[in-house]
Amino acid sequence: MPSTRRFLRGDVVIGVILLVLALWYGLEAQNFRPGRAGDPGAGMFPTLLALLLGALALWLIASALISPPADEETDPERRAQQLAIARAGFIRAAIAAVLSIAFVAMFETLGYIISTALYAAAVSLLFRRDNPWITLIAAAGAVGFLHLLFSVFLNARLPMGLLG
Amino acid sequence: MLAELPQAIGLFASDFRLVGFVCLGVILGVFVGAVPGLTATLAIALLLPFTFGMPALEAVVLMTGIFVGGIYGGSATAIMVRVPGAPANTMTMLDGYEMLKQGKPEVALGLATAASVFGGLVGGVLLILFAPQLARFSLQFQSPEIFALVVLALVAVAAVSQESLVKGLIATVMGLMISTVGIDLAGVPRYTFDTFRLYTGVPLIPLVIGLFALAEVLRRLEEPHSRPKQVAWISFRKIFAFVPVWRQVGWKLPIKSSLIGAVIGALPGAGAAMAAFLAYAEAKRSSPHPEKFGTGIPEGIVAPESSNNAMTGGAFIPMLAFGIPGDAVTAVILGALVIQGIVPGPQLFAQAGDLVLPLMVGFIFAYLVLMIVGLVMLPWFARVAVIDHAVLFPIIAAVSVVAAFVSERSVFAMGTMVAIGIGAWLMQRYRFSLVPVLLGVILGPLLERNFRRALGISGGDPMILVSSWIAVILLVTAAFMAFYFAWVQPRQQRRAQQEQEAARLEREARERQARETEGNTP
Repeated sequence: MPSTRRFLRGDVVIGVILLVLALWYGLEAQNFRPGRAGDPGAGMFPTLLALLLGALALWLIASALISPPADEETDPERRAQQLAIARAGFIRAAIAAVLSIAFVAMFETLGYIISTALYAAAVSLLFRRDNPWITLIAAAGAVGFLHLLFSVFLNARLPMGLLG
Repeated sequence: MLAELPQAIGLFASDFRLVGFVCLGVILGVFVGAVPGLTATLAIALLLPFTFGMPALEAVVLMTGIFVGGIYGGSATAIMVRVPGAPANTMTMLDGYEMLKQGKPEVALGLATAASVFGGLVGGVLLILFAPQLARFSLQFQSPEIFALVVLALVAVAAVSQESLVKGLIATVMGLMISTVGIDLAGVPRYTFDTFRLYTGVPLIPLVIGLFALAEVLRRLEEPHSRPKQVAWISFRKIFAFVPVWRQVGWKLPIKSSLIGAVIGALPGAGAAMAAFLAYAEAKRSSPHPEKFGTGIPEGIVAPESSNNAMTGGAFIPMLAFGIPGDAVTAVILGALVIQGIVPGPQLFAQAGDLVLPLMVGFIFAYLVLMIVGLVMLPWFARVAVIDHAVLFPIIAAVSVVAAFVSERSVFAMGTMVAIGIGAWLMQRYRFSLVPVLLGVILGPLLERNFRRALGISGGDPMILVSSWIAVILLVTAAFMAFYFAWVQPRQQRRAQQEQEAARLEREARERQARETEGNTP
């Protein structure tokens, strides 16, 4: 997992992103029908939320800058090892996120059987690569489970794509 | 309302589908509870496309069964492989695994089962006794009181569910912001980007699946892959070996622990882990032999298990009476009810009374099923912990994405789910809790509607929000909680850390001195 110091640095970056989000959200709210006394318009609640988010973002940035650095691993070798594990984990998860987007994009074109098998196999390989049987079981299990669950029990029509 | 209880029991007993769904829910719940990484929240989120098409009562009892089984299931792996199925089972692991090492796994598992059922039944009785009374009281609530109640719930969940109050509050506001997407009360489209599908808001089923299923898969990928452990078989003939040990423990401890659990459950956001921890701490404090805790004593299993299961009944009380969930699972169940067109809260008992009592009866029945399922199948359930994550999580990921498609019959819903899942994973990575997001999404429309209605009634005077003593008490409580978790608690934690650090340095100095003295001695 990322170290505390990086979290604190990350918190500053997140705070800035949230400030930008609050600004956009608040400005967008000004396009909705403005309210008047006795009849708050569609923009009033979002405007208040934007102000609240802006204030909380500033609070997050301030507390990240003020807080003293927490205890960290002092042994440089072990620290480098921890960072390498965290980085590898992040990359695995990020690849899975990209695979999920690709799965959505190819779902109708390839059909649910091919796309699910490929997606489950790829995600399984991200967990472990030393046993091809595990990958195969994950892919077959995902397709079989989905077919039973949605096509048989729920009677839902799933796109067949290339196999249709 | 209690007068109608026999009728509800009759309805429940005569409907085999209801009984079947409870049994299915419990078995499914125990299964997901026993697999580390799978939770009842995840299972219920994935089942939303199913429950959406079911009659409301059947859907709710199925989810209740999963909730009940899910809390309990983690105790098996906590005892058998020293891996708690959920954070709520961590305290059970301390003494349960030690008991296993002493060669008494069947006693540990039996005690966990009996304590879970006992705690759950206490929680169920309290639910039946208190939820209708609180609901009747909440009928007095007008817009200012409802606004204040929702504010209190959001602050409480933000404060308790996260180590940092500011991050909890940010997550809540993010949820509230998501809830503003779509056509508002006056028919104005907001944040829809001219996309027709967003006119009815961000679809709730893909949102819940993204928050609690896909995000969990991505989070698991960040952890190094660990090989499954081997689990020893337990002889079926020994499943009642716990009875004499239970007699030695007595009834006082499970009753006390159950009451702690039920109260913690009724507090929004506190959850099963806190219930188990507090009951364990209290059992240790009041024990004549506190030093034995952690060495495999029965009290160390009975206290947390009865408490975290009593929590389930407690968590239902504010959910049914006020529409405010007590923990993550009840938040998802609340979402499922909203999807079904049922809005929990003050009007629920009046408008859907035929649903509430059978639900409570179903809750108690789920614990009776758990007693049988637990004792008969526990030796096997512990073995599901050995399922390889490389098989399990790819299947969950695929089911998550396709379930989102099925829920709305659209690729747009899949994309929404994946986008929310990735966002939720990143939020978790930087220690933002996801429960406040969901609560913000669900309670956002209620908050805005009552806020606007109150201001409309008062001609724009915001003082109407503090015009009644109930609203004032609720808002002051929310402010007090925010102050405590923002100001007092961090200082207390820092002081405790400093004291621990000082004690460590002193101990090291003493040891160094002792070594030097030894070295100088000829």
